Amino acid sequence: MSGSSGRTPEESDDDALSWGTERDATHVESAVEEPSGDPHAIEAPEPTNSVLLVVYGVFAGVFLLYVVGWIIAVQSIGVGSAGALALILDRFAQFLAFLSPVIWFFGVLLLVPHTKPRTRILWLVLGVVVLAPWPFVLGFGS
Amino acid sequence: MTIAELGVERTRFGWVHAVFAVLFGLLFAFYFYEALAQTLELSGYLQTQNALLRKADATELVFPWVVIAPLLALPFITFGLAFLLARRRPILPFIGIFVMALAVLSAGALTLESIAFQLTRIS
Repeated sequence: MSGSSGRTPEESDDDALSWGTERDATHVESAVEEPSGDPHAIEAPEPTNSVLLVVYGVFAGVFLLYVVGWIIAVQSIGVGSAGALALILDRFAQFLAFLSPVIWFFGVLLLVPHTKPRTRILWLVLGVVVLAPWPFVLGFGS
Repeated sequence: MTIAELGVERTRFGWVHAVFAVLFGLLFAFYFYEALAQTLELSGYLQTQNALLRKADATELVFPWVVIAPLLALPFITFGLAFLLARRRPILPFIGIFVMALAVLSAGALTLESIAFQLTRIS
């Protein structure tokens, strides 16, 4: 393989793994991107801190458990409205109730800027308290 | 508008906002109507329960105003808070905040209704 230049195969492999120098004929200088200098330009969002990702994951798990709790609670409560429209709206209200933790979670993540993680967490904690499936937790059903 | 801008952009309250506020207002009004209907139903249920308790010479149950009052007020509170938070936002976040408020109202109303019926149940 490298017999003509008198180099050992190991030396040849080392060359293949090095970046070479600017005098190398195969060297290509990549273009350097200059900053635009526009102070109003929207910067790409910074990657979310891994600790925050874990925290959001915990909240997502809690809210998913809440959905299960609400589905069980809603089944035990039953619908008491008379009339087709009232019945449809009642069903819609029940559907919203068991989707409420999911709606809250994604609503907070979308509407609170990622630059304010404390505010996001506070809103998520509020959701954990307010949207708990209390009829299921307390063992109630009408 | 990107997802990152959803939470920060501000705008004026326009006629599209007004139309959606009215539509959501009607939905919130339905919840108030439902709360009123539940209050009347509970009142009738309580009279039946108390008639049974009177026959048995037991203590009568009291109307659970502690739970019914928040149930009646909840549609107004959630609508008001959603409007305050959403009024200067673009239309998509505006709708999103009202949907969140409606979801909270649904969960809160179901919770309060089930507590009210539990409090008027003879154990």
